[in-house]
Amino acid sequence: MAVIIDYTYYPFIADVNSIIEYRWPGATLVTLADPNGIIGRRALRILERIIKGKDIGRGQRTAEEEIVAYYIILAITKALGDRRLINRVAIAYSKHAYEKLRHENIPTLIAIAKRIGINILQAKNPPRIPVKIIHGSPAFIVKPFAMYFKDYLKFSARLTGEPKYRIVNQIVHRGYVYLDKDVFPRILEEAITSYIVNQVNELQVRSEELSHIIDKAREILGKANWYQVRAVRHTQQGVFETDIIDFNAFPPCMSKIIEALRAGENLSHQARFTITAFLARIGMDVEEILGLFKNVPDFNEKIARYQIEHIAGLRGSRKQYMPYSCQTMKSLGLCPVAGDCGAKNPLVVYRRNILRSKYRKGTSSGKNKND
Amino acid sequence: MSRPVSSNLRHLKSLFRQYYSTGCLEEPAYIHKREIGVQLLGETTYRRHLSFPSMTMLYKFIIENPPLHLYYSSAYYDDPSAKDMGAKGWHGSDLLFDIDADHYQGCNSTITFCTRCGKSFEGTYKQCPSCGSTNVIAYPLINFDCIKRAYNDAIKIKLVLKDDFGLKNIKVYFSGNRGFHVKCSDDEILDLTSDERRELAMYISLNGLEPALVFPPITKRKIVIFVSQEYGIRKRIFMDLDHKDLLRRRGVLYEADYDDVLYSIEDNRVDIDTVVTMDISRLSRFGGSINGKSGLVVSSVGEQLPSSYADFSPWDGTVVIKPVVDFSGLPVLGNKLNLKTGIPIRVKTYVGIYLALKGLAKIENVERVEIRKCMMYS
Ligand code: SF4
Ligand SMILES: [Zn+2]
Repeated sequence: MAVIIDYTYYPFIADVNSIIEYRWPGATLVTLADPNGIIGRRALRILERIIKGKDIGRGQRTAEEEIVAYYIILAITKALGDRRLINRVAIAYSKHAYEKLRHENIPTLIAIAKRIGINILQAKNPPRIPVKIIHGSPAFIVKPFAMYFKDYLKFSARLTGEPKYRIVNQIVHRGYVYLDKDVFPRILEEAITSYIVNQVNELQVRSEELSHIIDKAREILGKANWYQVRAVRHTQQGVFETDIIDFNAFPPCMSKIIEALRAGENLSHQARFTITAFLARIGMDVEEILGLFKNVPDFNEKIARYQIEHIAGLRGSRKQYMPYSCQTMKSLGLCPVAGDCGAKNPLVVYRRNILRSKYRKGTSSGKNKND
Repeated sequence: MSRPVSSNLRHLKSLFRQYYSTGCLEEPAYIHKREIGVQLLGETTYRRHLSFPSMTMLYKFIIENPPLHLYYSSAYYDDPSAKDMGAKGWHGSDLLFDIDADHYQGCNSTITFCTRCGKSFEGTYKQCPSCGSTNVIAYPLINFDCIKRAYNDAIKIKLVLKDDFGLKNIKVYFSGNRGFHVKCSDDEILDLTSDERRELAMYISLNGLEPALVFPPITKRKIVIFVSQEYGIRKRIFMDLDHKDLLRRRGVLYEADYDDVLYSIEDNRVDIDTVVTMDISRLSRFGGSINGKSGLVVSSVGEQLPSSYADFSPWDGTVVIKPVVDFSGLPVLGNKLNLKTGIPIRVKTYVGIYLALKGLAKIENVERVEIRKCMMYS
């Protein structure tokens, strides 16, 4: 089977500089990022689609143009420094890739995984699971993708809500997790998201040079109400985002910790961790979370900031943490209710409360992120 | 004037000190990066956030102040003595699994002693059912068979970590009381997050396993088919079924009833405390330290478990104790004792220490004690 990579779907693994050199000799990413040029317009169009929650779309452009547009978008998001936007772009592109990944052959999937730095092997003697008997002989699910277990744990972290992605439901042997053609592309999608976020983080951008297209992008973001999004949104992946922090919708455990924070009580490490993870997940930014910690007795701004950034996924492994599950909260003595709140994680309780309260624009009970 | 130290406490301190003077603590990797926690004999609270640049300094401290319990953090820190997790500068943590024998059926009976009226009751009570006093002592009855079961589970964990995850530096410790710790310190696992550790814990306990995903039953006939070369959990269940004679050969394949597979899964669960595994700042007992709940030594164990509690005591010889309760035929670490309040009896040192630590007797006199040097069973 041949490896054929359609870069329209995987622009993040393309070498943009060689493409520009070959296709547009003498041009640079900056010159191609003209907001009125073909590629600049396409980049802005894609950006608009992304912030409106649509998919990337095929467009009329060539693979080369799509690749350059992708890198222009990365440059714009980097220049804007908007973490939420960066995540949104990364997720949109990884979803876009997934649509194609699902139909790729094994060598192509492996080639793409390797290109984004994942240590993946094709098993010579893959585990096979007989699933049915057809005319007397068994049909198998084959698991040819061998992924190092640490990578698997990392990339499956957001998917553990679905049993088929949990490591407990995989075949694990000598340090490798064996995956089939159903599970692996989804794991790869997760890996691509974090790869793109890293790409943005590592990008060097001189915003002055791109000021025209950045201004245009700001305008689009403004028109699409990006800066005043008030509604609760679910992306298709179940990612939960809102700019409003509604303290009234907090589950009892989190309200209790917030109260303790405001009262300047000394909290356990676990309580601090879980509230920080919770607040970061519901969209509070570092400064605001920091503000809540100001009253604790041993407050040290530098350390607190470092920790919050770490938990919020802005540092180190860049993994955004989840607050503890209700079960863990209970075992840590952090759950104040006798039964449960009807969900397995406080985050879910919050989301449900928010949806129930039918949040409307500008209600006074919420706290505006941009205030 | 200072308060007179009870002779009981004095004896315990001296026995513990003598033991620690033999230098049998197992040195953890990077001792200077570990947080040390202790509860000293005669004190009721823990001291945390201690740090020692070397074992020599640690010994100096504990020989001066013999600890009832001695712990180090599974985590490595820049500054282990900082009070706050953030300020400590986390660098990674060993991977821990905790098995408690009292989770097994028939392994969690207790006798409650009232030290006021001297009566005893089966079961656990916060207050004396007879006189209402809260001066009660819960005395666990765990026979060594329960310890053996816990040991077998600990060995299972070790095998899964080795076979499935390819990990190498794995040690199994008897906790000195009624459980086992499995500690893995391979470089690969040090930086695992709490959530990732939870997933590993689930892999081992099989919580969250969806049998239909991993062992899809062939519809209608409700059978599961295996191939001759299985891996991971399927291999373990395959072997277990084979062992139990529940596999049928079908040409190059094997089949088993789905129900038998489900039972086998139940038999292969390992009941671990997930919270311990997830806690990356856990304090765990030093190998070679004395567990102050029992007076037995936290010992690493290998292919074979020693055959009795006595093998985990460093003390030979006898002591004279004065019971503070009445009970005839009390099981104490595999011995049966008749206790009569205030009537001194001579017992083996480890038995006396055990009862003294439980609060059921006071050590009156240490007659002759020898210390066995550094018992290691692995
Ligand atoms: S059940 Fe969960 S959400 Fe509800 S109070 Fe407890 S921890 Fe919080
Ligand atoms: Zn009583």
